[in-house]
Amino acid sequence: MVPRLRLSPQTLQVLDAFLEAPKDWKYGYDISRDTGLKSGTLYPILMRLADRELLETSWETTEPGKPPRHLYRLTASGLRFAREHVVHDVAGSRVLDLRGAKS
Amino acid sequence: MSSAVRKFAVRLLGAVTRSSQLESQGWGNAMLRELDFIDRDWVSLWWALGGATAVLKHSLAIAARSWVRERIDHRGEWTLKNVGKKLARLASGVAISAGLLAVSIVGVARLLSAVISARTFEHLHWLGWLPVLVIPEGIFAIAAIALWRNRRDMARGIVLGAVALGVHVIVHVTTHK
Repeated sequence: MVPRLRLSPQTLQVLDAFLEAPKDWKYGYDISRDTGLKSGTLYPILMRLADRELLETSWETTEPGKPPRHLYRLTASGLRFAREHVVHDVAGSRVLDLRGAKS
Repeated sequence: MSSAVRKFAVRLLGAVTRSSQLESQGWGNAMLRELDFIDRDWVSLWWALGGATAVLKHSLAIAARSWVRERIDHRGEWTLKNVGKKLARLASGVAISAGLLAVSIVGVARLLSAVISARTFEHLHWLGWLPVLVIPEGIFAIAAIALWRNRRDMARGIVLGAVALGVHVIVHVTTHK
């Protein structure tokens, strides 16, 4: 069971961004650009999702001498949770569902 | 080359990250690293400001949670077993005060009657208060102070006995005049 999570429109936007390519790891700044959310809004959401084990994180070392970069991806339960709450309309464009706002 | 704005952004987020709780520092470092991939300086400053706020909030939430948990753990002292122990020590303090009172009444009263003649005693009514009130209350006060640091519950029991005796005397005096 997923611990209580406040499903704000911004959280749904983030979940929606992850659903674009569910198996891919994403960088924080890329998610920010995809969703239009500022770091002060985006990161608390990522923190909450990670706390509830809906999001897994990883450190990627690309260049030697440079600090690693943080990556994010939905866990299996995160993916199920996101699919439950982010639904599509008939035309195929995504609609953010607020029915489960108290999940 | 980094502009002054970007340098400030890095320093600000770095400082907030370093001063935050250990659990929040990973998130701060993650946001700090993203600054390298933001092209525009002013955008990097807004990113750092938002990131610093997020890290600060996360860190404060962790600190508040651990504070509350500490208080709850501290309250754990009040488990049934500990309450039983505390009550036993309190009761032993009350019992000690009752014993001291009995010894004082019997011992000191006998001593007074042996030392002072009945005739003299009639003139010195106040002497009767010595074994039943003055001496025991004095001993209670000394014992409570002596035990307060190391055996507080027992000391509390003695104070309880002292208060009970004082109340009893007051009630006695006011109802028997």
